[in-house]
Amino acid sequence: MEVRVKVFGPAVELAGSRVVCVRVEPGIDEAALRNQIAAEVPPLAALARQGRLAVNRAFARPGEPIMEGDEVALIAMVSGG
Amino acid sequence: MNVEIRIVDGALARPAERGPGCGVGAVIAFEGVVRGEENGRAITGLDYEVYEGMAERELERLAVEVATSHGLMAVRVWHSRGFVAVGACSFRLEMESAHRQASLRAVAEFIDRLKRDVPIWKRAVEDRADSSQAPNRAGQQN
Repeated sequence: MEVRVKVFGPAVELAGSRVVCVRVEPGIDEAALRNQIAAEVPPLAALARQGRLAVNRAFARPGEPIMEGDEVALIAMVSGG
Repeated sequence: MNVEIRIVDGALARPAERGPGCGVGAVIAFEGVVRGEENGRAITGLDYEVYEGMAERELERLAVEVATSHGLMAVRVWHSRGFVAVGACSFRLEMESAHRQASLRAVAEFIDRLKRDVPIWKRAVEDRADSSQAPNRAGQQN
């Protein structure tokens, strides 16, 4: 399945886009997906390894599977306040 | 416990005067104001990007957790999205408690966790015309 990962903040400039697409097996967990993002989009490697994934607008739990249709976002280097 | 979260476009207006609730002995308010420089360079403002839906939910979750752990009576949070000019307020936090120590500790914890957990990003704008560009660049903290 294809996962479209939303990115924000400095990650947009690094990726050159607000969305990055990766092909994965259904049920891949959040850690494996971050590793795959790091491998397939090298400018995002550091953020993908240090950041967290949100699934359907909530932080993914360790080991949480990603399923077809999930809204996935890479949350890294937040700077609100 | 009363929790209120608002994300609004642009700079924050002055809050309306309100009386504290019954039993409140301390009201602590923090305002984050946009500085005129970022990383040693003059700027005209900051442009805030918000992950809509998740940012509000994380702010509320954080407010409830901090209020519960510190025994607060009320937490109110306002945060800007979009451009906020130098000198204007982009973040306001108000906490009410029976005694000052609880709110003082809670303000520090809330802001530390906000800067770690809430999906909001800011980008320094050196020229006002630059604020409509998409990419954001994280800057230093208030």
